[in-house]
Amino acid sequence: MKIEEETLKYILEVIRYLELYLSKRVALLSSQEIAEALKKLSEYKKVSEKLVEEPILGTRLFKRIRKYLSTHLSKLDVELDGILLQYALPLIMSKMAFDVFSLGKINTMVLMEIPVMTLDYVKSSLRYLKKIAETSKRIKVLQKRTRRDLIQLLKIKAIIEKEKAGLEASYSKVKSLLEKGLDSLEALEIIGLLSKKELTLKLLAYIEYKAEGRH
Amino acid sequence: MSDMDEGLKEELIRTAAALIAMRTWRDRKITLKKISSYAKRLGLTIEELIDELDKRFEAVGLKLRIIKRNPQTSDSEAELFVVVDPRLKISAGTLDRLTSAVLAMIYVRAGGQSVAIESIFETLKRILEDEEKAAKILSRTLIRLERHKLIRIDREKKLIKLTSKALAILPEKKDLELMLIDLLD
Repeated sequence: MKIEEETLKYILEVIRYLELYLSKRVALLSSQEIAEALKKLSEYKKVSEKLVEEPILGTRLFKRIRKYLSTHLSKLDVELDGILLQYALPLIMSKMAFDVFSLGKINTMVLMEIPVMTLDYVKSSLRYLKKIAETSKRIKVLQKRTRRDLIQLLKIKAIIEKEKAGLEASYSKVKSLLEKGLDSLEALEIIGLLSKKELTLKLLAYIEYKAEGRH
Repeated sequence: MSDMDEGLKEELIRTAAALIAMRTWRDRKITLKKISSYAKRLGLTIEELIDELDKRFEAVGLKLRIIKRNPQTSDSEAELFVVVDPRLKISAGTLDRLTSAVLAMIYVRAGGQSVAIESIFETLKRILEDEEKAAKILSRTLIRLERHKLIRIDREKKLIKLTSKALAILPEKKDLELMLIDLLD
């Protein structure tokens, strides 16, 4: 008898919970509390028996549960929308603020400041312009110089490649000449026919040729 | 005048001075007409009140500027501004250096009239000796000047005109002219 009374009391308590939730006084209880109460309710065997015994009570409870579920789901939906809106809001707000400011529609609160533009400042501002001009001129000269150097390097590289190609045929001759030493009569005769630049390029070509291990 | 009257007089002058100072960067300016009511209450002519205010501002390193943009409007519509005295031996500016330099250039070329954007561009190009850089700097600074309401741009006619705010803040034209000539030489 006592158990029956307790079961009835518990069912009525759950119904009260649900009604409280449905009465929009949601703040008074959390949905977590209702979820726990419903879980507990489903675990008691006596509850289902009582609900069968008293169909009016059962109908009342299930009506409330059905209503609770639809209300809770729509509340979750609204909350989700709110989260999405909150996520997008900062972007919208900054765009609105930017639009309003750029149109000059509102007077913003600004700290008071007396405008100033002294002659010394204008002088330094104009000098600053000149400085920019000088810097950009320097950069241009440097770019031109770098380009010139690069072209020269490519030209030298092309000459060395040409010399290297020539070495294919005359490698053994050059090698023996170098082995005899650059101060040998034979070498000095050839060197005498070459300019300093030509000699340097030929030696560079020979060094590269050897380093590449072609022989 | 009694002591009481002197106190009231002082308060009225100080109020007029504060009104001019606090509206200098604002859109709604103080005009001579608005100040005339203070002059009347003080029993002074508007010129006398302006002289008094001028003296007071001058004493603290400021300058009272009266700008009349349109010669056709009456003198009472002239706007009053308070700016830091440009002749003070300090290097200070409300705007950044590039914007200040371009503003000074516009002033030298235009004065109170309009000037073609092309003419400013040509000057800038001559100084920088770089067309691309000149175009970049000019477009950036013109946007800034327009935002600060220091110039008005007629995009159809491609003309720039200085606002009264700009005319008030800038130093004397002849001083700027000398500087620009120096720079271009």
